[in-house]
Amino acid sequence: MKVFAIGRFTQPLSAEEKARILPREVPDTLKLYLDGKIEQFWFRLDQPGPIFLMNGSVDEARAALDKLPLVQAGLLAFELTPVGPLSPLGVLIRGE
Amino acid sequence: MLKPLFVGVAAAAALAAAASGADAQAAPPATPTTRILAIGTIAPGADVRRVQSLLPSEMRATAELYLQGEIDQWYSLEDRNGVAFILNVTDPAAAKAMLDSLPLGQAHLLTFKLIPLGPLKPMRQLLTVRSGQ
Repeated sequence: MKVFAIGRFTQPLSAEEKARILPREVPDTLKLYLDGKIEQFWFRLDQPGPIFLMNGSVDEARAALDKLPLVQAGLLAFELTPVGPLSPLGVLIRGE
Repeated sequence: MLKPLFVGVAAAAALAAAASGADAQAAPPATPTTRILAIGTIAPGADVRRVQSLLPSEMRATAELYLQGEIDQWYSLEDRNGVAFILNVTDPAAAKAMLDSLPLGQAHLLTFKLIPLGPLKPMRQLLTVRSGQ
């Protein structure tokens, strides 16, 4: 089970918030990757925000992301979408 | 249009660099689009049997795109009827045309939301903040 976590900023960050929070946010995010909770990470380019592919359940993803400083400050919100293997590929081996 | 986070990260990096006495950083290069996340959902009220009858040809065409290197990763959505692909395509218009040409797209049964992706640019902060602890 994996989860796509699509992030969006709830409001633009002030210069003060960026200077205060980002120096903790980035290392905390990298730690989630090194701990195996985040498998892959990108920046979305349609509007500012991170997108992660996380390992585990939606509840586990939510618990991990809720500890990030920007999420705790209410400045970054994630939409979580659980995904799994592309199961309809099975038609290629069932001979339908 | 300025992206607030882009300016903010550069500002945060410059602040940190200035605090440590280093020279101010030049603006980092623009973030490139490297992939597209395509989230496809079955239209509400769609005829499920019609979708199922098209699945074999849909999966053959999808597998063909994978073998051509256009699809990098593929998943089923688990909270609703649909799929998520990571595409090795960087132009959203080309991605849309490609996905619309699949059988379910041609039947207007599956529509995709496309999100261009790039490197997680806030990571650049790790290269500029002095960590001498």
